Amino acid sequence: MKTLHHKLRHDLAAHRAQYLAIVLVIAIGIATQVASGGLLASLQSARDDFYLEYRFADVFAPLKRAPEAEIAGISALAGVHVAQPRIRTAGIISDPRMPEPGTALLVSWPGHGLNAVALKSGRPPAVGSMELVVSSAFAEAWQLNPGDRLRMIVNGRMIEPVIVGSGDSPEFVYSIAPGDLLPDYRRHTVAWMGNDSLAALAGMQGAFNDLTLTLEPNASEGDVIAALDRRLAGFGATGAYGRDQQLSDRFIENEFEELNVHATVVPFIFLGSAAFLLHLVLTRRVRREREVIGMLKAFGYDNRVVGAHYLLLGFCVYAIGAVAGVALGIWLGRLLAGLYVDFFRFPGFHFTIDAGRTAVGLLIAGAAVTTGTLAGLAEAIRLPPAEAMRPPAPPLYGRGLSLPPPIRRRLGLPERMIVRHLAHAPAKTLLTVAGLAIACALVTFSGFQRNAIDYMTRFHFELQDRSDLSLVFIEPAAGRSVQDLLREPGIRAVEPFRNVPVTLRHDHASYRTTLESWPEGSRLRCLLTRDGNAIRLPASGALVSAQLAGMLGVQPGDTLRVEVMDGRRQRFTLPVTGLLDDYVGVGAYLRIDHLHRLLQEQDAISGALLAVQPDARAAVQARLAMLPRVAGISRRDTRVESFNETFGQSLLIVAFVFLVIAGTLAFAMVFNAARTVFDERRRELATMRVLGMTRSETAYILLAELLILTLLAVPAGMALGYALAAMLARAMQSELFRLPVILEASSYARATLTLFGAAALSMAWSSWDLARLDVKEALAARD
Amino acid sequence: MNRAGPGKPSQPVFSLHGVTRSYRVGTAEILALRGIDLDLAAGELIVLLGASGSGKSTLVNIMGGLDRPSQGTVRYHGLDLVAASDAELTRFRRRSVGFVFQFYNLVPGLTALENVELITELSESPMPAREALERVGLAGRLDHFPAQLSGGEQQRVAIARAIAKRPQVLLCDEPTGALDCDTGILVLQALSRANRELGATTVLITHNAVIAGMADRVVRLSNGVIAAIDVNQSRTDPGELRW
Repeated sequence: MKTLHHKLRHDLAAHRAQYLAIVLVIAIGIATQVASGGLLASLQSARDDFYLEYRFADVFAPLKRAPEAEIAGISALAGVHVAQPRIRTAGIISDPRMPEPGTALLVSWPGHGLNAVALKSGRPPAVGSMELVVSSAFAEAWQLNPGDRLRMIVNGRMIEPVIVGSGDSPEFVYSIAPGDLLPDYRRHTVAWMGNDSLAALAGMQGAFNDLTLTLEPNASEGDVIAALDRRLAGFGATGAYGRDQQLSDRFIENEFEELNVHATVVPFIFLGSAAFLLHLVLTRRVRREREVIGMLKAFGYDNRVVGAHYLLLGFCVYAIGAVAGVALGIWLGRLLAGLYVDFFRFPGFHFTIDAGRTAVGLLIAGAAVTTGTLAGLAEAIRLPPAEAMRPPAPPLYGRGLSLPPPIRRRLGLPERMIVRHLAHAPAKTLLTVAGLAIACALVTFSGFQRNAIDYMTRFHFELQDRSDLSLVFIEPAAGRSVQDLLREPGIRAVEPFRNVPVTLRHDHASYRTTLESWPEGSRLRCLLTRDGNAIRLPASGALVSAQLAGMLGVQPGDTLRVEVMDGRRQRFTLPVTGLLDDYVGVGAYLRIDHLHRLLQEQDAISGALLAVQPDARAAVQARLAMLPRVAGISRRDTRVESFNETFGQSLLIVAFVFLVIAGTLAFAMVFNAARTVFDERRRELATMRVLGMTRSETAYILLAELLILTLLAVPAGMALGYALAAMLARAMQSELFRLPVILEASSYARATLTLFGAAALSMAWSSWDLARLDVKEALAARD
Repeated sequence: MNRAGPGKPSQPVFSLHGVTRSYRVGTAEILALRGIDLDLAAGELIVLLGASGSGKSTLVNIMGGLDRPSQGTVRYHGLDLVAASDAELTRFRRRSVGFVFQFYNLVPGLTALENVELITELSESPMPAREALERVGLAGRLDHFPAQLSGGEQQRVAIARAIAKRPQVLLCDEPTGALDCDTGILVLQALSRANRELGATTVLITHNAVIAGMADRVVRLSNGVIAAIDVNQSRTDPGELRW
């Protein structure tokens, strides 16, 4: 047995390059599983801890105004554990440090109550003071420190409170400005202020306009919400809701669902590909040991010992790959966690390995190693030793491979050799091409998310929304008020929009969303099909996002029941005239005049879209910030820019890591294919060298074959990459967004270059081997 | 036919003097050849006879430009095979040498005809590939792949491949080693005919002493040295050999 262990060491050393390639494949498969599985588990546990420790509320009830005395009655409702009133109001940040106005959501400092703030710096605002705690991301973006002042307009009043700290709350992990779809940490913040000071600012002394509460264990959320709605009906409540409707939590849930899909699908793709490649490579590697196996058996080693020896060889390779994979996975997980820290800002979040998912990864890779080794062994072990020691019969090239004369005449002898070599064992060639195609597909696919999100943002923020500025009011305003804006210098066009928060119902399904409306013939806002053709809003009825239609089970021709969630809480029905295959959000769209009729209002608007001369944008924005009742103003260009800054950078890093992983896998595969071609042709090449063919003539045969394999694999790999992208897009579609299956030419080009680059390097390596080929030795060897 | 008579050749094609070849295996030094002196005349048929490890293959590898001696000189006409570059050695093999191996070494993906054409395409004035195959009695097997031919037929394709370039030297390493007697004789007849008709200096390695009868001279190697050189007064026709 000792001798066999020596042989093992020798084998590993002698074929180290090829085994290294296998180790890489194992390591990458396991690493993707460790990284993404661990990341998700770490995020989930950090979120749960955050929610628990900082007492994230269970139910949220916005209202117009209720006296504080109401709280006692609400606290006494069955199922209510803790009820906490507070004040929320919008503010416009108009600070000299910021080139354009931002928005703030002012909220009462919760103290040690519900939705407490995890302070990252500074201290809580003092009672009765004009002090603020701002979101940590906002503070970091502008390098705001305790002691700095922030100028803002609240309720038409300019104030300049002192920032005393920064922090995060479980309620506002994801926080967006009014009218925005994406978080923008540079232009929006939550600002916590002592309740008394905020009450004074908002004119809410002795009252509250927002209520959050936690439930008793085993209490029914639905019953509490119903009771609360009844209780608060007279106070302008817009309907209480649970965590499932809470914006930030819904976003996190969505994000986690996507991550979960990602953490399942992507490692499955990588690990599955790695397992396939591993099986392929190891089977071939062991099959080449056929004569040695025959010899060992002839010496008296039984099948069990021989089998165990090769399994041990497989296991050694696996063990190195597994250790490297777990280490690489932890490194990768930490890198990704670093990106997510900025995104979610859960306090105490750090990457930890997820034992379950890691074990699954290790098992899959282990199974691939075992089956690959056994498949290679099976054939050799079945043969009687005498037969195994004889070289395999010359590969059977039958008459069918003579090639038709017209083709034969066109091909030189080297080309005929190559074509016949590829064609005589089509299954093997197909497997090699499949292996290379998978590698190519992974590189193609690595560009997908970046491409898709670029396209999606362009589609949504450039093609469908052509405004320069958008303005949102705290409450609906009269439409004519914005028409006056046209007199402002620099403003070229003003178009109103009216958005209403609603609950849409159909049969037993319901969904809380927004009805969006704008005038027919709008130049600043439109809806497009996925092909880019404009869709007209119907004169009556609504276009509904296909995603929403799916959730509600509606088809064109069906009718939705609509409950308005604010103001007069109107109820009406709305026919669905068509579905819209959109990418972002889930909404229903109709003409503003139609919505006005349904709401029985004259010309109320929620805000306006503006076309502004490029040089006047900043000035117009600053003037609009001074208007009363403005909840937010945002510039489309800076919004997209800020999105790219916040998420683009992370996406780029993720895409780059993906590319490196996929590229490494591609290289390992191409290298192995090159080694296989070289090993199989070794004797032929040596013979040709002896017969007087030059190095370049023999190299041509070797390299052209690899080139053909690569050429066959590239288009197949591109198609497969597209299919993988489609699969991921499908798996990841959510309320938040649907990724378009977009792969730019650059992604295909990158995959092609990677594969051919890997082929070129492998070819260089093979050429070097060919130059060193000891022809005497190769001729002496019978195989 | 420019064939030297019995005895020491007057106009040597190959001239080997003091040829030594040693290999280092770990710390041990193995001497495969220890001072070989040998001249070969044009058209001569030499049988190199010896046991395994006697140095036969090493000697033929050096003559074919596949290996270099550790010491000594090897000249083929004017060419110094010891000092020649890799490219010169390749050119030498391409133009002047035909090889026949024990295990045929045919390219499995090429038919019999194409295996021969692989060489005729490289040569300056080859005979047509078909003619080479006709000479070894394989006119009817031109489009067969190696896997469709018997061992003897494969070896005759290898001989056709070797003679098609009209080589001046034919080096055969155990050409009948993997064949039965009847098939082996067919192969030896093909080689003997090629030697006579083409006038190629032919070196034939074997450990089968019976084959020695078909040679002009028999060089017996033992432990890396020439133990004896026997001159046959007349060559036996391979058809008359039996083992």
